[in-house]
Amino acid sequence: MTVVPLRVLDVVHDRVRPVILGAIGTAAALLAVSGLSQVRLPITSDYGLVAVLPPSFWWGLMALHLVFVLALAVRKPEPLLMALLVALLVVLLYATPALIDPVPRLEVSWRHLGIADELARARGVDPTIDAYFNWPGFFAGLATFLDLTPFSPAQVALVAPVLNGLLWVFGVVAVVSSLTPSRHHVWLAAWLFAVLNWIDQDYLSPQAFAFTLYLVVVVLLLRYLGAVPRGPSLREAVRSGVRHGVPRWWQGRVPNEPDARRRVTALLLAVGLGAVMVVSHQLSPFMLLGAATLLALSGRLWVPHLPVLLGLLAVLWLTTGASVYLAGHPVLFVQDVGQSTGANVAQRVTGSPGHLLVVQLRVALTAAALALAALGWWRMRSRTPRDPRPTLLLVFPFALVPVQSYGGEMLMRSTLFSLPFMAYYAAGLFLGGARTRGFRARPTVALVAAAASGVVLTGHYGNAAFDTFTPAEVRSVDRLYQVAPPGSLLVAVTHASAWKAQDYADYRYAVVTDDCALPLDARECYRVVRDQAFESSTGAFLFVTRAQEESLRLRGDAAPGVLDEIERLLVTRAGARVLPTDGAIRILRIDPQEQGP
Amino acid sequence: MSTTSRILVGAALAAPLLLLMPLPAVISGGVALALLGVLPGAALSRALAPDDPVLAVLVTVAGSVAVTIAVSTVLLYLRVWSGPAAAVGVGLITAAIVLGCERGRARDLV
Repeated sequence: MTVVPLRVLDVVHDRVRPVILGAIGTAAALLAVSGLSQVRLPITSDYGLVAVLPPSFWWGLMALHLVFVLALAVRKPEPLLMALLVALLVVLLYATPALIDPVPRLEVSWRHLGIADELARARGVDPTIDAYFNWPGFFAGLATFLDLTPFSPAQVALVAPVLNGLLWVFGVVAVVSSLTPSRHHVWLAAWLFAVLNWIDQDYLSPQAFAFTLYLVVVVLLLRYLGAVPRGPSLREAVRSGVRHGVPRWWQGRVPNEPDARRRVTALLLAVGLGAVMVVSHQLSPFMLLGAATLLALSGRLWVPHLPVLLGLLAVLWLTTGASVYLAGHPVLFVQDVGQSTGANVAQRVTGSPGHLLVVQLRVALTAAALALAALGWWRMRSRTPRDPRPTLLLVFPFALVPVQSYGGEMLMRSTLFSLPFMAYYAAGLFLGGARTRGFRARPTVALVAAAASGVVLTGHYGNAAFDTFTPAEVRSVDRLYQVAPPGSLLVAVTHASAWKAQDYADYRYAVVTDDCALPLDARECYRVVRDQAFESSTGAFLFVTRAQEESLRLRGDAAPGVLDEIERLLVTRAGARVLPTDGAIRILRIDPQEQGP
Repeated sequence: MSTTSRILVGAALAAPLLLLMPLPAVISGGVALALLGVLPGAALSRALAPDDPVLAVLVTVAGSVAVTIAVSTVLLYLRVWSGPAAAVGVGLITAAIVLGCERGRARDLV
């Protein structure tokens, strides 16, 4: 009998096991997506996408979670295998809508295509159009990309979520790698980031790319531009006298990176990426500025003048490229905390029972992520040396919530910027406070990840009934642009419309749910729409689609029949004409010369 | 100059010219993706020389898109934007990054 040496068995096990797990993980992902062709459009469930996903999707997703925990349960996780599994998870969580629906979801995706198209047509920037043209950077890059590549705008918008998801999750890998040498911690944090990220910001947008840049710059700040205080702690320095102790503590810092040339390169890169953020998005530069400032004040940044540089860049842009917008809109101002919180939370909590459940699950998932992070922080607190950086970077984004409601989205945006560090601490909870060589909490992690996946898919795509559009609906909006002459006022009932993707600056826009009190009152709203149309020299075109009607119903913005009543009043009293269409859209033309009561 | 640097500079300067030629869509798409999504960031990543492959890939992709954004924005504000003009700008900046790094390395050796 031949005895195989144990060492050979170990080698075979180390080499074959990752391949087998990789194959099983890939098969699980294929199983998950295999049944997606059965999903019929439009999605009509109040609970969104999660209610129509076939059982094969859930089996495949659960199997992927199990493969992940098995892959992590070795002394040295295989990096290529972990990267493959994380990428497969991102595909399942971010690409599923695109695999079901061949047109991009969300009105804002179409709007962003229209802005890039407008810049390409005009070959210049007109900041008076709207706020987007005061931060045109991302759209300028998008215009160049669309001009030089054979991809259609819709194709780019369709794949953007999964590309952003991949960049983010590997950004988290890089960030957490800068905080811990434990590969278990790194990959588990990335996994948890993916399953806890319900925040629907991965669509084609400047903020999605700005978040990628934020993660890259944070890595630079943590690694190559970071510093470590040597000698007494800050507490001891303060005790020994603020005047002498603190400067001595400050000057005792040593850089993380010994190579000066690499530090300079990292600094130039950080400033360059920061500059691109400044010209591309309103909010993200302030997140980066805050992060850099806190790291500097805590003695963890070797280049303390970096926040000053970033601040100067932001101020320079606000006073030049964005000066038109700034003239009418203060960037930051201290609001009443209750008012800001209300704008962010309470005003979103209305609608049908299904929609309310989706909103509540989002809040619950955020609370759960914070709770896991808090428990993880507690468990990791005995680790020495203590590192305040992830705590600072977790907490800071929420400090901006009272300062600016950002149209009711600040809490959501802050959660996204905080999430990598929530995932870092949450992973620490499952791995324990001390450095571990293994990973013992496998069943718990698999269960938590599976449960979180279900909730995150509900939270992320819970509005699928009105934020996904059928191909027929998208084509029907073309009809609107065929009949409405440039200069007309286009009136959508709600924001759930695949419009603004063409001739962006040639039309004016109004949305009924923005301009009328909610819930809609038929007579009052009829007067608002009529007056808007009569004030427009070229008249107005009110258009209604299925997605808009679903939005009204699910959000509880109008009682049944109110929209029909508004249309009836516009026809009978304002002389509106119903234009012929293919049925996927209703268009009412309201001419300014038609007068009525 | 190292071989990799020569390749990067050559590719960065050739890509805009290739995009002006009537190539099949697949090839021109690949060239454009390489120019806008890989080359500038690869130059930046070489300059930084991270030992982490994940960071190297991130800097490559994010850096490339950032350079494309920067060039495109400048051209728009100067009212001289066009896709080919942006491609030339991105190519020139990529070459400048590579040459700048080579010069820095040469100075270090001296």
